[in-house]
Amino acid sequence: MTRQEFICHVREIQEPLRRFLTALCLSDSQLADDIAQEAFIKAYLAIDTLVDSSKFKPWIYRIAYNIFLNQSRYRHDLVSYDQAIESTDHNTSDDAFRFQDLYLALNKISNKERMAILLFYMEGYSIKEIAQITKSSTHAVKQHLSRGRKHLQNIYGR
Amino acid sequence: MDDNNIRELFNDFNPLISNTDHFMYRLQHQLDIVDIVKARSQTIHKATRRAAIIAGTTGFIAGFLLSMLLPHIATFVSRLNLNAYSLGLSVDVENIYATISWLLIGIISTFIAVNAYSLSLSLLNHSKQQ
Repeated sequence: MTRQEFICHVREIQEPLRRFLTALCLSDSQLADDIAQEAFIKAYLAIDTLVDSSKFKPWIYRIAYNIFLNQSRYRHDLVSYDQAIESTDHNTSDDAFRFQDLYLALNKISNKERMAILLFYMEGYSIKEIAQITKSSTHAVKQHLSRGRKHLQNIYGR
Repeated sequence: MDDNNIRELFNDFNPLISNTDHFMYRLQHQLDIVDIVKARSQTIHKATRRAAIIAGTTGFIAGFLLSMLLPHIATFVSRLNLNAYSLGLSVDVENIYATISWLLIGIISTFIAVNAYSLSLSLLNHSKQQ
């Protein structure tokens, strides 16, 4: 894949990926952009390893997911919704306020559950595809989804 | 709250993102840097490979030419043996002069090869920079 082709693929998927990462980072769009940038650069460096270009999108999501997990291991404040809100600009804060309840609910579930919930409900991926992205079994994904749903039900049911 | 309710929650969930042009500009800039580093590392890799080939060939030629001079080297070693006797040293190198000669050839060839590697590598890098 040439650089031009790579850029074309990036243009197609950068918006949904960044929206997804912003949700994953609890409205911290700056952090989401940093993760997206790193994911695209890592993908560009390893572009020769991608055999099927139709799998570009899930491949990028997998790279971004790994970066997110690595960052959250070293940055414990990553999952703090309040800090995420503070670090965002005014427009983003308005947006975060609109979805405040949802962000608060997402803040209370684990990274893996949040990832599964967002990929399933926001991005519309199937359980099998989520398993491929997160490199886990379908059973594990089902468990994460089930737990995530329960947590959301508990939070919204109150 | 069932599955449909959760789906409804995410229906209009569209997190706001930063400016796309700015994001793409930043990415293109990063990719430019990656391309420069990639090109540079490829150049270094090529130069290293060429220098290794040159060093190997030079070392082989040097070893071959020195082995042609083996009788002369052997004579030189045997002279050393005589000198050692005249100095009163009880070093008997007569039986191992061939081994010493080959050892000398090996050391000299390796020395030439290593120097050829350093020299060719610096010359190749210098020519690429120009």
